[in-house]
Amino acid sequence: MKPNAMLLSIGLLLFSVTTTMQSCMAGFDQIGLDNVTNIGGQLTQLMGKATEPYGKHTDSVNKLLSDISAAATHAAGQKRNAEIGKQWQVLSSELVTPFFNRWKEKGILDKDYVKEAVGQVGKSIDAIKKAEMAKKK
Amino acid sequence: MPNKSSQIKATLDGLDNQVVDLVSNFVKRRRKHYEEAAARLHQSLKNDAQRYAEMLADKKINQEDFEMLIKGRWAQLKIELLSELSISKTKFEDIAGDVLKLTVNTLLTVV
Repeated sequence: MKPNAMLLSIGLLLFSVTTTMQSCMAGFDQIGLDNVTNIGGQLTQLMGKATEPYGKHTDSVNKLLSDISAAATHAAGQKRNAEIGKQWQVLSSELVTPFFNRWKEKGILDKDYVKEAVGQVGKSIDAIKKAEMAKKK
Repeated sequence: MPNKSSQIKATLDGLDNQVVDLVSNFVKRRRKHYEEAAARLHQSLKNDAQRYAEMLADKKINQEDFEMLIKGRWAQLKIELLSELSISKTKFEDIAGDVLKLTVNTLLTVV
C-alpha cells in the first residue's frame, strides 16, 4: 500500500471508530435536566400540602402526573438512556402515584408520614438529576 | 513501505500494556467507588427503616403509613442504584475515550 493510501485508510478507520463511539454515548440532555429540575421542585412542594384536603389540589395533582408521564416518555425515547427512563418509571409508579392515590382516598394525610414521603421523593429526584448531570455536554 | 507497516504494527503492539494498565486502574478505582456507594446506601436504608419503626412504635404513624414508607424507601433505593449504573456507563465511556486518544496520538507520531 502506498503511504498516502495507508494514511487515508488509517484516517477513515479512526473517523469511523470515533463516530461509532460518539453514537454509543448518552449525550447531554437539556430537556431531561430541565424536566427533573422543574418537576422536582413542584412535586415536593405539592406533596407537602397533603396535610390539606385533596380536593383543593386536584388540578395541580393531575397536571403534575401528566408532566411526570411526559418526562418519563421523553427519557425513555433518548438513546442510551435506559437507566434514567427506568428511574422516571419507578418514581411515577412506585412513589408518586401511590402517594397521590392515598391522599385522594384519605382526603388528608398525617404530617409525619408526609414529611418522610417528601424526603424519599426529594432524594429520588436528586438521584435522577445526578445521573442527568453526569452526561457529557 | 514494509518498514513503515511493521513500524506501525510494532507501535500499536507496544500500546497493549498501556491499555491494560489504563483499564485496570479504572476498574480498581470504580470498584472502590461502588463498595463505598453500596455501604453508604445500605447504611442510609437501615437508618430510615429504623426511624420508621420507631415512629410506628411511638404511634406517630400507623401500620399503613409504615408499609407505604417501606415500599417507598425500596423504590428510592432502586432509583439511587440506577443512578450509579447510569453514571458508571458515562465513566466507562471516559476510559474508552482515553484508550482511543492514546491510540490516535501514538499512531500520529509514527505516520
